[in-house]
Amino acid sequence: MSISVNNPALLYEVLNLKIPENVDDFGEEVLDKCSRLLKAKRAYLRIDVQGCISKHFPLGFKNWPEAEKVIKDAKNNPKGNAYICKFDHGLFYIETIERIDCDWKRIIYSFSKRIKEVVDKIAAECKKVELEKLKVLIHSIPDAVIVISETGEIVDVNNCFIKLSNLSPSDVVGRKIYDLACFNKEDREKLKENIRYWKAGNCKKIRLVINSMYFEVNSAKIYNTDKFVLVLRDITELEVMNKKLQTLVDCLRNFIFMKDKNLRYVLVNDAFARFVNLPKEEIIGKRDEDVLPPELAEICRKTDMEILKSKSFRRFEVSVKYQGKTLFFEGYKVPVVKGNEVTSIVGVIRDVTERKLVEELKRFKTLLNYSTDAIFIIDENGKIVDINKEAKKWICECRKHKNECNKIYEVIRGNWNSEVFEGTVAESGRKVLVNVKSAAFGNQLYRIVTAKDITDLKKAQEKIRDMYEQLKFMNSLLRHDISNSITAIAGYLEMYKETGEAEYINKIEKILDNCIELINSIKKIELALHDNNELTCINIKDTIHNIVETIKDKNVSITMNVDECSVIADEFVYSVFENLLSNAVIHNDKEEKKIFIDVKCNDKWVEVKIADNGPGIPAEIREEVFKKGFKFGVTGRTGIGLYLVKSLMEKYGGTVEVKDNKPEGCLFVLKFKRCDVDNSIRNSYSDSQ
Amino acid sequence: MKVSTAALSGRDSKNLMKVAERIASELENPDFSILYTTTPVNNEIVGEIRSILGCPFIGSYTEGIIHGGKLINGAGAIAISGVKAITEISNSPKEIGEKLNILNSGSIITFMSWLTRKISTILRGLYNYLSYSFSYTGGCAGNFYEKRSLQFTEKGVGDQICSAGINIKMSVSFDHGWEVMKGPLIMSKYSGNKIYELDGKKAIDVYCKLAGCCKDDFDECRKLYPLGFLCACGKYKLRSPVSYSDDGSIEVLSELPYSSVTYVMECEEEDVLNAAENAVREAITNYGGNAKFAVVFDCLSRKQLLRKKFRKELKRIDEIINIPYIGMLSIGEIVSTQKNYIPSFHNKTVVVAVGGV
Repeated sequence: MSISVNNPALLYEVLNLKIPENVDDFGEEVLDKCSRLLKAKRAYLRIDVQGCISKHFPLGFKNWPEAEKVIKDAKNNPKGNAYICKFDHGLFYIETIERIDCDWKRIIYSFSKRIKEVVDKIAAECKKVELEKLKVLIHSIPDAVIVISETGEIVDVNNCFIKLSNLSPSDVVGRKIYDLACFNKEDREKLKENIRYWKAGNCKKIRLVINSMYFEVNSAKIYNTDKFVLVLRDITELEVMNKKLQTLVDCLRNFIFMKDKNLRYVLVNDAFARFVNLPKEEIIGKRDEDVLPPELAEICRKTDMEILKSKSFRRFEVSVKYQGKTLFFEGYKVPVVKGNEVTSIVGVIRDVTERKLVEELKRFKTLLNYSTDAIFIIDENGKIVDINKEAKKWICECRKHKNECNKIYEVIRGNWNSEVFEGTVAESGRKVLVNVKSAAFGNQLYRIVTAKDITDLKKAQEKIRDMYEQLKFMNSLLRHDISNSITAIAGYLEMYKETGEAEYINKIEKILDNCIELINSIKKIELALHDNNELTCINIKDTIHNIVETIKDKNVSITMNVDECSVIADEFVYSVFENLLSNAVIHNDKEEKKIFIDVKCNDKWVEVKIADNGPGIPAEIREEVFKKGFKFGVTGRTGIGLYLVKSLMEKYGGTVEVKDNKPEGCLFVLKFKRCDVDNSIRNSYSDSQ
Repeated sequence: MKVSTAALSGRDSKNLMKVAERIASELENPDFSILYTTTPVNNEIVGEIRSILGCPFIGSYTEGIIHGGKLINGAGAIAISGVKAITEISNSPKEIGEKLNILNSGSIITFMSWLTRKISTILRGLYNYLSYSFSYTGGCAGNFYEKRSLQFTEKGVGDQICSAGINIKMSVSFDHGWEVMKGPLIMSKYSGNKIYELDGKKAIDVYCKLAGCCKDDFDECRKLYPLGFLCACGKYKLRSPVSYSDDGSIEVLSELPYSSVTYVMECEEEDVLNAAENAVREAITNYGGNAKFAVVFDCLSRKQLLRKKFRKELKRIDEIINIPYIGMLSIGEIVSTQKNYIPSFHNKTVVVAVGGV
């Protein structure tokens, strides 16, 4: 018994395929009907809605690939018991036990048609749901999202984009993405260009700017449609950070770079670009040998290869001849490892040429600092580049008086056109012997100035000259005065022999006294001027009193008005007062010889006035009286007394002058530096210098 | 090919071993055996049987064993020599299919739990691996009242699917004796093994009206008036109503065909008895060759319907079959025929599978 194809229940059941809630149930239903109602030996249903559903329902096949193979064979070799129905979203195959006659073919055809209808509806529903899901998804994404067609026309945008762009949905939807005013001209061009990449399935990322915010655009094709979804990820923070980082990297003087695993540059900083003298854009993508000096490129390449092999840090040093200069470089390189592979190399190369020179200079400078001479290193413009310790003292002295002491000419004055000259240290006036030599450090030409302080030498020279003069003077005295005296003695002695008169003997004794006095005076001068007696505080009152005691006489009256104070002098100050007071007695022609001594002290000075009532000194010879060997009048003796006074006063830092005394006689005014009890002699002495 | 059968009455768990010893001693070296027991088995018993028989076997726990025209409460078995057999116990039709497909062609005898859902899907899963190269028979085993199911092979015992493949293609036939009484009715709302609406009305109301009974009589009525579903082979697949709910739904024993029309079926006792006879005759006739043994699956619900007359059905089977056979009371039957290669699941049906040389 077999059922008829005209059985209404059979027809109803075969054609009654409802749109299912579950695709699996639909597949089971189709297979159930095939096995129960359609005498199926084997059957296969494939539902394939791209990006939505992909289901296989085999019956009598181990798996769907076997079913597909059988169907392919059946297509090539049609069988009387097999029926294939291919539709937009799948395929239906049935193979029956018996040959399919016309009636059953009609039924199976109707069944297939019904399957197709249901699958189409499932597909439509699925797409609808997917689109609905997509819409919900797009609007729920916190990033800005734009859905565009293949032509770049905007289909949908989410609220985030609306807020971001300050545009309304009606301003946006339907317009081309590259016409939107929220993008700048450059970005609009970029979008226009990229649409064809996206269309070709290339998920190329681009960067856009909207209202000063940076976005990275990720694209994806929406399955089974001609639309693309663009997700704009806010990378402002990242971009700002990147820019800061790039700026920071660019600010560094060291050469910073990053290379990919093929050893091509992917990032360099400004310093690197400046060094190789190429714009950054031209360096990116190139290798060491394309941009670096050969020696540096070679060592860079070598270290890169080592890093790729060892996956560890490397440090190197190299000296390179570059543009006619010798440069020293120190490099550090670190691999970036992902998994077990070096993905990039980050490196820093430092130009350590200056450091090398500084190290050399340091060694040089250490040597210089041991020198007692001042050494300056100056550039071609005379600017002081480096100094030693002694020179530093000079500059410090110079700066006490001047703001700018940066150039050698400001510190040492002299004939800078000569290699060797005598100069003067600014402000202090010290004499220096300057030696100038040229020298090269690295690639720079410098001059080395060696200055020797010759102040003491000069003083010594002057002293020697003075001593020579004095020696000449004394020699002349001895040769002249004593020789004359000896001649006179010899004459008086002849006269005495001839006459036997005692007067000649007296004259000889007088001449001998003069000679002895002369010799004593010379001895005093020598001691007073050339002994290294230290200056000290001398009580002026006691000194004057002691001398006055030696010259007291019944014909001499001395009037004193002396303050109690001390002066800066030494033991030879005695000679000063002795000479002046004895002159006041000896050269006085009055019967009653009067001497007035007045001593006044102020804060700094002590003024001593010694006056007499003698004949006085004519105005025209007052300047001469302090010169060596000057003698005046019949009472003139050795001619060196006042010279000694002046010399000692100069030694004490004081002065002496001669004036007319009113109403008669002469007045000597001496000015000593005061030596206070509270102040040290040393300080006072320093002030005087 | 040699065949030996044996059965022992009595609820002694050792009876199964005794039966196994008997058939084993009769055949000396059996190649395959089917065993039934009305007493639950365990792995220890299965291990004993394995050592007794020394061949692949399959068996189940059942409410009754059909042997010699009688329903036996005890143990029964059939042993066959001269065949190649493979067995497998698993929850996965794929695993079973891949294992048994080594035979290339033949017959598949399957026992599974009557409590299993989606029996049809499992059968289609088996068919996907074994295809039309095999004929299929078997039944759902277990105790309906205890709500318990046990199947076993030489590999162990459990409530999974147990299948045996033999390299003889058996002739399988089925019949039930029910005819269309009312219908067709459109299952306008259904799910799984529940029908909520028939022709847009509450299923229980429509059913009771057409069956001419009231809800109070549902338990008696359901035995007489199952639901029938059209099959291309010309017969109807039956589904036994089990219960109804307050929401008006009727629950049937196993899952329902999708989007189908159904009929309320009726029967005469004589037709039911004849159906068993027809099934045997058809199986033997269709086999064509020299039939040597038969396996019978008779639905428990038929025993509940026929009561004392069930013995008559067993006697008629025994009279006609005339070859060694063993059978069981099943709670749902598995069958694939020459007119329908794909195994399907039936209720209230007698299934007879005949094999031989």
